[in-house]
Order: sequence, then C-alpha cells, then structure tokens
Amino acid sequence: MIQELRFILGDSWQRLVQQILHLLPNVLAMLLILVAGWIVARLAQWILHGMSARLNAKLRSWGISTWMDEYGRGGAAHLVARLAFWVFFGVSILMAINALHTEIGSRLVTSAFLYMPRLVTAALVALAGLLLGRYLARSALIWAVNEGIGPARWIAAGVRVGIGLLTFVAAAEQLAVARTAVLATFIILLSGIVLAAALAVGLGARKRLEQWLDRRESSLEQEHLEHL
Amino acid sequence: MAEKILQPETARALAAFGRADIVVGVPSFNNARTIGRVIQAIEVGLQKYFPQSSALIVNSDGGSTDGTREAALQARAEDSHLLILSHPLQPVQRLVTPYHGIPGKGSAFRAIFRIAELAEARACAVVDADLRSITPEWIELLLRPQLHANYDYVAPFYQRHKYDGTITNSIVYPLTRALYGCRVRQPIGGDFGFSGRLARHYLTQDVWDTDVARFGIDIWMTTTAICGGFRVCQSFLGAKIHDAKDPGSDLSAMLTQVVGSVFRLMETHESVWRPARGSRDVPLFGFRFDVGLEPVPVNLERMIQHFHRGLADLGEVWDLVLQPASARDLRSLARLSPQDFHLPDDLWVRVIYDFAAAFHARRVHPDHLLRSLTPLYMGRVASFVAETRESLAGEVEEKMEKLCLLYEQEKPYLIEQWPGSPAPQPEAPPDAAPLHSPSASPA
Repeated sequence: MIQELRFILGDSWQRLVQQILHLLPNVLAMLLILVAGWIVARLAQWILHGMSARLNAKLRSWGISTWMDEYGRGGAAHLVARLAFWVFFGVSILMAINALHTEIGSRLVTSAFLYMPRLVTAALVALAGLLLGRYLARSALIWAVNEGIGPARWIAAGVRVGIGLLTFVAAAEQLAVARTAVLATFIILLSGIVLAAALAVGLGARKRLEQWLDRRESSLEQEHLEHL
Repeated sequence: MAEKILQPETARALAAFGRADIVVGVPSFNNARTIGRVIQAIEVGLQKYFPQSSALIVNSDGGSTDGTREAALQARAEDSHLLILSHPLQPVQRLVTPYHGIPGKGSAFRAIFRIAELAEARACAVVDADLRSITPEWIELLLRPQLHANYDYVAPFYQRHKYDGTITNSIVYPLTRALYGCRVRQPIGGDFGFSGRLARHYLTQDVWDTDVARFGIDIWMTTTAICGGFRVCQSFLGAKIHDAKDPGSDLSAMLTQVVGSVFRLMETHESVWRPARGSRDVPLFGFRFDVGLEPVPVNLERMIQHFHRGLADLGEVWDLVLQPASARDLRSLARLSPQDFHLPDDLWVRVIYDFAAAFHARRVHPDHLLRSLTPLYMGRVASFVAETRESLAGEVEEKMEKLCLLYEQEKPYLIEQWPGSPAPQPEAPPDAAPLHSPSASPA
C-alpha cells in the first residue's frame, strides 16, 4: 500500500517536473518578450519625447494638436509618446501570452486580434466624438457669450454631454457591448431631455427668450456704431 | 486666364470697347436703391475731370435679384442738372458683368482687375455700390494721383465721427501701421484708387481661391501694395455715408473676418514686418474740410456687460491665448464698477499681440480664437467711449496717435512671442518702385 502511494506521488512529482520543464522555455520566452516589449515601448516613448518640440510643431502645422495641447504637460507630443508606449507594450503582452502555447492563451490572443478592428473603430469613434464635442461645446460657449444668453456654460455643458452620449452609444455599438440595453437607455434619456427642453421652453424659457429678443432688438435700434 | 475670370460675352464686349485709360469698378450685390446715383457720380466725375481720357465703368455684380444691374445700366448722368464745361472726347463706356468664382467682394474685384488689365488701363478706382455720400470729386481724388503723380495706390481718408470705425481705429489702423511702418489711416476703407500695373500685380497673386475672394479684399489690397513696394498715398474724401445695413448683422462675424484677414497677412508678410521699426507719413491729397457728422448713440452698459460675460465664461479660451500677465491684468478689471470701467491702452495692445501670436501658433481653433476676441473688443470700445465722451475730434485723434505709438513701442513684445523663424522674402514685382520713391516708373 505504502509502496503504491510512493509510486503515485513519485509519478505525479515527475509529471509536474516534466510539465514545468516543458513549459519553462515558454515562460522564459514570455518573460523575455515582456521585458523586450517594455524596453522597445519605453524606447519609442523616449524617442518621441526627445522629438517633442519638432513633433509638437508638426502636429500643430497639421492642425491636430490644438485640442491635445490642452491635456497634460508637454503638449500633444507627450500624449502621442504615451500612446506609442501602450501600443508597443500591449502588442508585446499579446505576443507573450501566445508564447505560452496554451489553449486558453491562444484563444485569448485570437479573440483579442479578432476584436482589434472593433476596438480600433470604437477608439476612433470615441476620439472623433471627443473632438467634435469639444469643438461644438466651445463654439456654443462663445456664441452664447457674444449673443448675451445668460447660462453660456450650461449651454456648452449641454452640448458636450449630448455629443458625449451619442459618442458612447456609437462606440458601444462598435464594441457590440449590450447593444439593446445601451440603445434603449439612450432613447429613453434622449426622449427625456427633449421632453424636459420642450416643457422648459413652453413654460418658462419662452418668456426669457422673448425678453432677450426684445432687449437685443432695442439695444440694436439704440446703437448705430459703425465698426469698420 | 480671361475665360476663367470673365464670362465670354464680357470678354467680347471688352474687345469691342478697345482700350480705356481709366477703369472705375463698382462691385455690387442687391444695391438697386443706391447704385444709380453712384454710377451717375462716377460718370459726371469722369466727364468733368478727365474729359480727354477714354473711360470704362464696370459693374461687377454678384447675382443681384433686386434689379441692381438694370439700375446700373439705366442711370444717366444727364439727368442731373450739372454744368460740365469741358466736353468729353469719347463717351464713358459702361459694362455690367457677373463675376466668376467664389461669391464675394474679392471675386468681384478680381473681375475688375482683369478688365483693367485687358483694357490696358493706366488708372483704376473702385467704389462701393451702397454709397450715399459719393460726389464726382471722389473720382478725381481717387484717380489723379496715379495719372499725374505716379502713385500706385490711393487709400481713402474719410472724416468720421469719433465713435465710428472702431475696429479700424482700435485694431486695423494701429496694427497695420506698427507692422509695416506706413500710416494709411483707412486701410479697409472700401473705396480705392490703383494703377494699372498694381492691378496686374494683384492678378498674379495666388489668393483667389482663399478667403480673400470672399472677404478681406480691402486690407489685402492695402497690405499687398505696401509690402510690394508700390507708391502709396491717401485722398481726403469727406464723410462716408452708405445705405443702412442690417442692424442685426453679426459683429462677431465681422470682427472675425477683418481681424482674421489681418492676422493671415501677418503670416504671409512676416519677413516684411519683422525688421520694420517706427512708421512714416503717407502723403494726403485733397482739401481737408470739416463735415457735420450725425451723433452716434452708444449703449455703454451693454458693452461693459458683454465684456464681463466674456471675463466670466471665456477664461478657458483666453488662458490658452493670452500671456499670464495679460490674463491677470484683464481679470483685475472684473472688480471695477461700470462707472470706473477702463481698459488701459497698453493692456489692449498686449491683448492684440497675444491674439496674433496665438493665431499664428494655432493654439486654439482660429474661429474660436477670433470670436472670443469680441467681448474684449467691446470692453475696449466701452473704455474708449467713456474716455472720449467730452473730447473734441482733435483730442480723439491725439489719443489715437498715442495708441498707435504704443503699438509701435510694444512691437518687440510681439516678435518675442511670434513662433518660428522668418519666412522667405516674397518676390517683389519686377517693376515695383521703392516705397514713396519719387523716381517710380511712369504709370
């Protein structure tokens, strides 16, 4: 009995050792890939950082850094450098998982790669939404200030939230995440906003709108300033 | 090129007319109420002051639907009971033509330049179609400097109310003067004279698919003439009164167009304005006289409110545009009561230079940047109105002069902030004479 137990334990230990020995090169390769990926990602980030002055100027000349400059330190180039780091490191993580040659790992990598186009599209939709929301919110803010409409910031915030919601729905649609639930929530929310706005205009804001138009008309009639 | 700019029938009509010593252009769009009188004044002016010269009046129309073109063709000088002692050798020809290209005053002017080139005109002038104060003397004043004194560009000099032309007075004139060193008092006047060779130079510029074709042609013409080394002068025209404009016309859009045009020209002509220091007078022709000007009502409270709204809500944009010191000084104005409100001249100059540099660096979207200037401009106008309420015209001009000198003194501040190295020198026209040189080639 003891002999049999010893045999089973020995056999199990041997198989474990064999499995570890079988997997060890893959694990080492995974670690190596991760370290190399991290180094390459850092190197890319460092190079882009080094070129930040030139890169900032280039991005500015293309007209795409205006909005990015407003985030974080170092301007648009800083953001691009960080993005490059995560792209390189993200790819190295996937390669590292694949190096294990496990079924789960292979499935994960395949899914990730199959999901990539959706992810990229969703990221692009989110970026476009962010840009559009920012541009339109600022346009609305400046317009409201110049037209003398009281809650200029609220109007701008409303525009930003509206565009943000639309962007979220569009991105979720691309990612195929709870499509029905997201769409239903969005429709309910939008209907609520439209109803609230209609009631507000009907009940209270109409009077304010009339007052504003009267005020504007009378001030324009009073004033004959020739600006040019 | 003629086919691209002019319609075939216009080119044919022009060929039938032959040469013309003088071309006077009138760009129009729905100006049926006033264009007849403008054409009459031009025709009388040509008959009275240039009877020996062949002349052509061109109405370059942007597709009017109110009968502007018919009114331009039907207007007759003999209807007015005038004593014209010298009889013209040739009748004044008239041409009404739609223009091609992007809709706008610039495209209308381009057609006029092309017609002047084809007609081999020696002197040309353009006047607005909505003028109510034009007299035949304007034509003489806008054309004689080219014909008899070899000038290439004649800018108008109007007698204006102290509160009129506030964009010109607070931004365009002082900035143009400080940049290019030339004291052209009305760089965006709208009525100009120019030589045939300057018209040809304008045509060679690659701007006709840009905003210049839509708006900003006035400041473009003035700046191009100065930077091209052409001989520039001014003519005193008296008061400028034109047809009432839509009172609801958007000030912000107007400011965006005008200031945006000036800033874009700064980018084009960087190598010209960077080394220029100080400024020089530009010769002024015409007999200066005082004109009774109607009072201009101004709503000061509304302007100050507009400024305060900007201060409260546009901080996020201004912080990206203004230097920290300028932003801090502006914020300190929030504490002032409407009675004490005052935006100092030096702060205003720094604000404009900050906006120009930020526009060039594209720190904020250009449209946002320019539109966000409106509350600051209203603050500046309010401050100016409050300061000059009791001042006479002469005192206001003195104050203007001080502002211009401040713009000139603060120019190093602009250069310090202006990003990038100087752009290459634009090619001067081969026949361009040095600025104000008496030895300019004959027109």
